Amino acid sequence: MLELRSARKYYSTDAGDIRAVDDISLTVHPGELVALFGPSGSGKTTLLLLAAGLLRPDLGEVRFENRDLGSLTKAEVLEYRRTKLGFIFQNFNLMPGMDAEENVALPLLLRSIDHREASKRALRALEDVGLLARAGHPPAKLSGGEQQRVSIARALVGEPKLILADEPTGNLDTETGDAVLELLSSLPRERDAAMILVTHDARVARYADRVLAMRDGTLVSYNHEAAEIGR
Amino acid sequence: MISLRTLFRFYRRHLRVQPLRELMAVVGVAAGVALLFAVQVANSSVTGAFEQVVHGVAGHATLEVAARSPEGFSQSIGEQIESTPGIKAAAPVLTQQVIVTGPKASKPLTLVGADERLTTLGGELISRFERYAEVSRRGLLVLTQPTAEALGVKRGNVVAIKIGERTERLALDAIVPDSQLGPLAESPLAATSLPVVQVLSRLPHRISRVLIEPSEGREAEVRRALDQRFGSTLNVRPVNAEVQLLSDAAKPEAQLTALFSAISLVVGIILAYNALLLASGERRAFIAYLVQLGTPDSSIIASLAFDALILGVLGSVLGLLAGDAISLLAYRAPPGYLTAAFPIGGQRIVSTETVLIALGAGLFAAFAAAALPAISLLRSNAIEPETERVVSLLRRPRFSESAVFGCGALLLCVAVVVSLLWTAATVVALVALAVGLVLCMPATVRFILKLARAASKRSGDPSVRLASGEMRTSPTRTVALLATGTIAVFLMVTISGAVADVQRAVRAGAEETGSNADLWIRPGGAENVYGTQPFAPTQTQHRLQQLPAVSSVLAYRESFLDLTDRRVWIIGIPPQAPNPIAESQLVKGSPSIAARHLREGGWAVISQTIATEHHVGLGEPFILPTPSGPASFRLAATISNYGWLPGTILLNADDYRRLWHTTSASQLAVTLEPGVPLAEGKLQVERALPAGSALGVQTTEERQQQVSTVLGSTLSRLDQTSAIVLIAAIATVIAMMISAVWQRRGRLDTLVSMGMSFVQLARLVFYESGCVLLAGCLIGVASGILGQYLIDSWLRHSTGSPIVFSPAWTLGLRTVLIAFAISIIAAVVAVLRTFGFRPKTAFSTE
Repeated sequence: MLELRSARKYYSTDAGDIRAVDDISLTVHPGELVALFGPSGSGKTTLLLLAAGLLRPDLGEVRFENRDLGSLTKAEVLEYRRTKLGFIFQNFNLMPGMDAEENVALPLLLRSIDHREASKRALRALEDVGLLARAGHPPAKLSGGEQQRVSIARALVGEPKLILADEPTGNLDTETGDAVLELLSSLPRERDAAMILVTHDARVARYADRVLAMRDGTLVSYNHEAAEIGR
Repeated sequence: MISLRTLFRFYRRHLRVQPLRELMAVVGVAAGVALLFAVQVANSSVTGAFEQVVHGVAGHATLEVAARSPEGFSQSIGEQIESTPGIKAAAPVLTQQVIVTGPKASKPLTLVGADERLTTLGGELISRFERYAEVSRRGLLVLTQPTAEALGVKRGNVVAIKIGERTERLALDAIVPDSQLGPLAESPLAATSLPVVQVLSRLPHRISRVLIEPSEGREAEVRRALDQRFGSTLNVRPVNAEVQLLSDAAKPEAQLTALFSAISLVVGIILAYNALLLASGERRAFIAYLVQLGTPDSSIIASLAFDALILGVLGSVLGLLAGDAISLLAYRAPPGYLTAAFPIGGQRIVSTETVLIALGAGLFAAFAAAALPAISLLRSNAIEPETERVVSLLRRPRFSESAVFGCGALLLCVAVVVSLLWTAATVVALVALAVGLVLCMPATVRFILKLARAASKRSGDPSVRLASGEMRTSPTRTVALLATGTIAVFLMVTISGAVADVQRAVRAGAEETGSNADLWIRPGGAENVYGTQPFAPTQTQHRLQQLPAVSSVLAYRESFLDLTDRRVWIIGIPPQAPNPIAESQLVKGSPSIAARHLREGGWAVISQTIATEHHVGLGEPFILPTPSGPASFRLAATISNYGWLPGTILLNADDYRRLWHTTSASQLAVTLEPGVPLAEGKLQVERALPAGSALGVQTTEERQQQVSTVLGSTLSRLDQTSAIVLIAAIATVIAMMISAVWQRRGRLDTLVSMGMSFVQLARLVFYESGCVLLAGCLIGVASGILGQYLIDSWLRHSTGSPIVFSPAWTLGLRTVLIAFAISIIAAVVAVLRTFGFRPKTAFSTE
């Protein structure tokens, strides 16, 4: 489904080039949860951005369903993000002026789906994450765990093929983090979607189908030491 | 106690971290101070400079005996006046309105003729003229430096002087440099010896006034004696009586200026407050840091007060400089209608009082703008991270919110009711109205948010939903934006609407009064808009009547006459005039009966304001102080002020000739034979005038245009300034929108990550800014039109002008279009911002 072929992304700075992603090849399959560990600055986010089509590799290819993202037009990349991807952020990034239902419906509205249909699907997604009763609440009235579950519902509502989760437990306490991980780990197989989960949280390894680690822009084999580095 | 040095360091830090915000706050305060200062200077300059001229000429003189006619009184009477017991020194003066022409330009000036006796009064201005004009007694002219430069003449050159119907020539003896006169250098004065003016004006042995310095302690006695002996035919009064007359004539403009000043201050506070809002997050973080360090509250308050002080001082200084520039560039020319009756020019008087008021207002604006964010910071726990406060539309408004709205609404209602019932209080009421509007803003925003929320719920457009959400997320910014738009538009619509109504009334009056003839002939150029300069008409009248194209030539006799507290315009209308009274200007009485009475003689038509003041009803007698003594007239009708704010009196021209002891006219009204083309008739009349004639010929349309231009300039500078306020508000709103886009970059990046297109993003910002600005414009237009109505009523009441209220809808529509344009700019900025999209602000791992 998602395939990185010798992808490379460097950033130029005054101090010289930073090798954020350096010749990485990686394939992620439907239904698979890939956990990606690594210390800060190791290139995890850049890899996520490449996968999301938000950055283009300097060299190599990023392919999704056998199409090179680099060959897509801007409109096609936009469509790719709207229809194929779901995002989960560490800071939840919910819109503060909108209630939970509206936040979840937002990706559908961006795709011009009728607002009544969007609302129905948003409520269903909230039900899936156990928050139907809180549908009318704005983010400020929800706990951190609840906000992250709304964020997960928002990522799922468009039935994405690839979910990109960026430190989803980073702002949560242990108990809430475990609950969120339980929920996240069930998603790929239930929905036949792939998930790349970037994290420092060593507990994630327990839930992942595959565990990868990054260091200085390259993939290295995961071990507990890597998880510790990430932490 | 925290040291001054530390406070400076803190401020330097803010300056480094948020230079743009500090600059904007300073500019906000400066805008208010500049407007306040400029209008104050313009206003005080008119009467202030004239007062200086009067005292500069009169010196120790405290009394004057002045003629009631522009042709003055006999010099022998002047000698009798001088011989009155108790007078220490006296000096006769003859003043005449002239037009002096040099190679570069022509200028209307007041020509002052005096002799050596004037210097004995010790007037500073006279002594300076005297110093530079040693040979002036030989019959040469003395001009101020700016006048000479404007005319393009040097010492020794000969200038042309148009006086009455003639053009005379006079050599320039001396030029008094600017450095000797200060701001009075701009006064439209020229000086020469008394006999020269008498010869030039063909008023031999006539003088306009005698300035009197009574012996110490005998002023009252002298005044009584003069009054008894000369009071029936001449005006015996304090030497500064003319200053009072000028103040009276300029009163409506002065009051509107005061209104403008007060609203400028409100605008300054709002603009500065807007700027301070932009960095409240950064300030909060800094205070949290201070709290963590264990800084006591008093030191934090000192730090906030110090910031406000610096803001106030910098804003005030910048505002004073900008205000000075505005007053120089935009307000230099005095109101056109006043220059026709008083020798005032473009002089500027900047008093210490004006500077202190502007400085005080700047500091007040800075502290007021800084107070709200500071109180909010001090009341909250600054250490806790700031969470975005979303307005809950479900909860009931807090008591404090309801109380603020209640006060605002009450202020609005009281302002309107007071203004309607007690017209004289309109100016104060309008300031209260502006403050009331600002107080109502938070509740209005709540209502707008509810509406936006309800609308967004029914919309499938994500941009609509997000815009509604964003507005709820930043209610303070929404209130500030709304207040800025509302007050700027309110001011613009109120002032510009009222100015347009005044100008329309003036135009209508000019059209009707000019309809009595095809051509108008008079001296004095464009500034002689009231036609009050006398000239000998007989020869010209005779010549014109011989022309085949001319049907009739009627002589109008007009001048200004000083009643106790007002300088009124006297119009002697020839009995043959087809329409002696402009019907649109009639307040009480029948036009046909009044016209018949005027033709009979012994009747007068007077401005309603004067009739009310003197409690005279239709048909009742009243006494007019004329040059030949008190004359009894009966009131035929009452009219508006006829375009002269202090009021107008219409008489039969024959009554005027008899009572003013004159054969002079001030205007000739020429009616052409039927079928004669206007251009041809005008040409024939111009050719018939003697060579070198100082008389000008105008068609009725040209006359209307001239009246409209000069009289229409009333209040027009306020109109220009309200445009400056609007521009300042637009700049602030744009800056706020740009800043708002920047502050929420994280959220925008999230939306772009999720697949929001640039078009959707632009729509989001457009809806958000458009909704707030449109609401601000609509409230501003509605309240502005209400303000316009109130000002119209007040002007009608205080000036007697037949002002017809005509709502400024076009202007309102224009401001709505401006709001639309600003929203588009904000949307474009948002899109440009996201072109530089940095997804890292949405993602957080690196």
